Amino acid sequence: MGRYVVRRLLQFIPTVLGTLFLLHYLTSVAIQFGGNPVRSLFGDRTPPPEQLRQMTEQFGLGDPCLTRKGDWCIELFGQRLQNIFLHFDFGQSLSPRRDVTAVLADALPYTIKLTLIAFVVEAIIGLSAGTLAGLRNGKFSDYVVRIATVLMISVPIFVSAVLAQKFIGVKFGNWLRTDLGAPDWLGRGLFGAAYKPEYPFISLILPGIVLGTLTIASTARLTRSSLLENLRADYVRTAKAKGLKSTRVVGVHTLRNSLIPVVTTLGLSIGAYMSGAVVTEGVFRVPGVGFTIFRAIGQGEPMVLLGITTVLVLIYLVLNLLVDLLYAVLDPRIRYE
Amino acid sequence: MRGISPMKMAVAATAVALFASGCQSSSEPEAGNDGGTLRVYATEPAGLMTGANDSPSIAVLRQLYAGLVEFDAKTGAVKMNLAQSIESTDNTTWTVKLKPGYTFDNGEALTADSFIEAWNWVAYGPNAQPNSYFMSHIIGYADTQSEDPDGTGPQKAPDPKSKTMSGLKKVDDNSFTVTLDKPFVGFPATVGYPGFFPLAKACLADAKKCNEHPIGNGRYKMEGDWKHNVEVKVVRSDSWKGDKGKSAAIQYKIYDKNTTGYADYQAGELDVFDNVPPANYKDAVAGYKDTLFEQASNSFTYVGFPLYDARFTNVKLRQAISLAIDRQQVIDKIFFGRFRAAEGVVSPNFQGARPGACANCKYDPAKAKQLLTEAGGWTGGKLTLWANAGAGHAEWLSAVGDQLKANLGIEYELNETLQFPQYLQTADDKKFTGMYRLGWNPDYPVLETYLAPLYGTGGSSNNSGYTNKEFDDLVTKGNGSKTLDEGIRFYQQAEDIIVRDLPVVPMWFGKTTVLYSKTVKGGIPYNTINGVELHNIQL
Repeated sequence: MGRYVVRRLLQFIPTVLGTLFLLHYLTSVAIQFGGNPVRSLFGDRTPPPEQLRQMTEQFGLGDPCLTRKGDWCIELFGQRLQNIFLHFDFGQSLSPRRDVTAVLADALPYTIKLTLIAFVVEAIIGLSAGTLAGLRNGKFSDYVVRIATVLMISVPIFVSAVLAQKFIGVKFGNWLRTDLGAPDWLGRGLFGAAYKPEYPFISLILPGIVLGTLTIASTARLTRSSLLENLRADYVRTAKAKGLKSTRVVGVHTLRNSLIPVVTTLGLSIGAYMSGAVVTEGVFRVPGVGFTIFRAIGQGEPMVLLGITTVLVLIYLVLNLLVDLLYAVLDPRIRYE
Repeated sequence: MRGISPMKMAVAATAVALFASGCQSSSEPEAGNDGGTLRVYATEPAGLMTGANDSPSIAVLRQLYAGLVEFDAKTGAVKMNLAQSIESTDNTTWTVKLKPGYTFDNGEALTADSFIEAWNWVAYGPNAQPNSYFMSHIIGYADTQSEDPDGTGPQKAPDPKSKTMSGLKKVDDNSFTVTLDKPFVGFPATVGYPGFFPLAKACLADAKKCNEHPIGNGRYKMEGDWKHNVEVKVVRSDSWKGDKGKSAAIQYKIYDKNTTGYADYQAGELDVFDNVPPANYKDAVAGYKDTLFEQASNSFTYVGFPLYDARFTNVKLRQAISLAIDRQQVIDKIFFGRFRAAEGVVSPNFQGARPGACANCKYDPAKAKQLLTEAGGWTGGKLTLWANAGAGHAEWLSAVGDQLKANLGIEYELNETLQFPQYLQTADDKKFTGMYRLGWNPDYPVLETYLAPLYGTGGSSNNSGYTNKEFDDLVTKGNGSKTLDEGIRFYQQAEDIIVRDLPVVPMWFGKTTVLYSKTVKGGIPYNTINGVELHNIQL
């Protein structure tokens, strides 16, 4: 097991380097073709060339390779890697001008909270809906789950986020707040139109649920089909024949085995949340990682993107490793040597 | 089952750690009932040092700091604020006398040094303040900028020669002199801009910290640090000696999307919301007409001619194009009346603006046709109309193009391929191959700010490449006048030349649209120069 973990950790290195290079190249090309992002800080006003050059250099964008279209900027990449990994210097964001590490430290807790809520929502609703549908195969509740999941999959998150904001946060929330006089935490916190710093957890629940709907459907579907398959397995029939209680047959024998593929999707869904967060956080004004990425793309800030992605990739890799290790917990037959 | 329990432990530990970090709460005390907390829509400021020049930063800086002068809400006239007097005999060397007894929030006395050091700091190149160029007319500015030895080469530029500008001289604690590189009668008006606000010594000692927690001298002071992407909160300052702010606190709630801001306004979370999304504008005007405030703002939109392109050098052609555009129709049809058609090239809010100054900005297709014929017709092939990508300019520009086609028979095409930075760079480099849209915002309430930078020979943002000695002379004469009123006469003559020669087609001036909450009493107080006066809003 220890050796397995070490091997996996070593695999992180090329993955992180590869991702970073891809991003470095894309952001460099964006500057080569889209122009120097520092120039747009001045807007319609032409800055004195000297001032523009000085600021460009300070933000680490002064390398001449950034003016040559298609250049790989290998030297700049080397410099950036050195700064990030040797000096722990992630550079500075353009507007406002801050250290990327500070930007990241501010943003990360929000996204972790949001992801956690989404994850819990996905796990609870997805697993129970899938189990229900699997056990009542072909019955009414099975059809309800199947139709609902198709609907969920077909509505993109930017639509569901805006709809939830408009109808739950504004319309329903206004009714709660003004007509019913609901308490503050309920009317403004839980059913608010956007994140509120005074309700740091409650006001994240609605965005978290929206984010969770991204993957509820696939989890429910997978649980259902996996459960159906196992219910027909020989060992389940044996268990039933032995006269075990049905709760034990389903709960211990069937579900546990059915969960192995589900755990994989649950693990992968963390990745989906990271991209879903770009939309959800933007719509609900949650100042997390997605919000920051979205802004950084809009303003063309390579250093912010590189810094955040490095951390995100690491989080994703670690979580995936945890998921793989979890298999051993669920299925004692699996051993890592 | 070896290996299981440590695994479970690890998973559980991770979960606990995530929860622990997730559940930190930061409850926030409500302000007392002495005016309440004004909740204002904002976007993330670029910085809270006085060198920032973006509107979200300025909205905060104007409450945190007080400058030498302020502007009359109605007329825009300059009123002394911290300054006792700003006087000059030759418009070049200005003597500033301060009213004694003012302090910063930390108790530090406000002296001539507070201004001199702040201005030097903003100017100093390595501090990379966007407002640095504001100081460029003070003698010695060039020495505070570093010169690159090898252009864009790898060598780092050396430090500038000097950290201070020789044009700023302290006389005593309450007075100093400013020497400009050339006479400018409007100087007292310029120092009302945030770039010229004073800074405390304690602030300059650690500028990075001060950026997160400014030490101001104005009506309001910082409460807590700047919570990035969440909020900036300021509370009424006891050390301010002038008229107090009406609300006890102002909370700038930071949004990234105006659609989210609009939803939050609808949900009753904002008292002042000034960024109605274009798509919601019609609904907002209809649904909130009792709590809607509109006022012409100073932001100017124009479509420039590249005069470096021989096809556009004929004045009559340019006049024909301007006369063939029905501005009001574009504003009504595409923007539902969100703008005010330009009647000149200076803001209608400014002292010295004249309604109807631009005869060539009216819609007169018959005259346009006649002028085009006199100019020898359009033989330049397809006329390209440029706009930056993805910013929603295509719709109105193609409406303009359609009008040119209908009224003058000029075929057009849109070029909306360049990203904003590249687009601006193309403008700087004078590489446009057709007409281009751009905008302008004034730096100070003197007509000159709409004239010299845009059309003066070598003007900082003269993107059309227009040059006219008569115009330059009139601006210089205006700058050298004895009084501002006298100067305005020359500036108006200069404007007459621009609306005749039309290096740009003036399109429209913006409108500020503010939605406010029902708790706001007495509507929105508006300053024609600074915009909404947040400190005068009564809850």
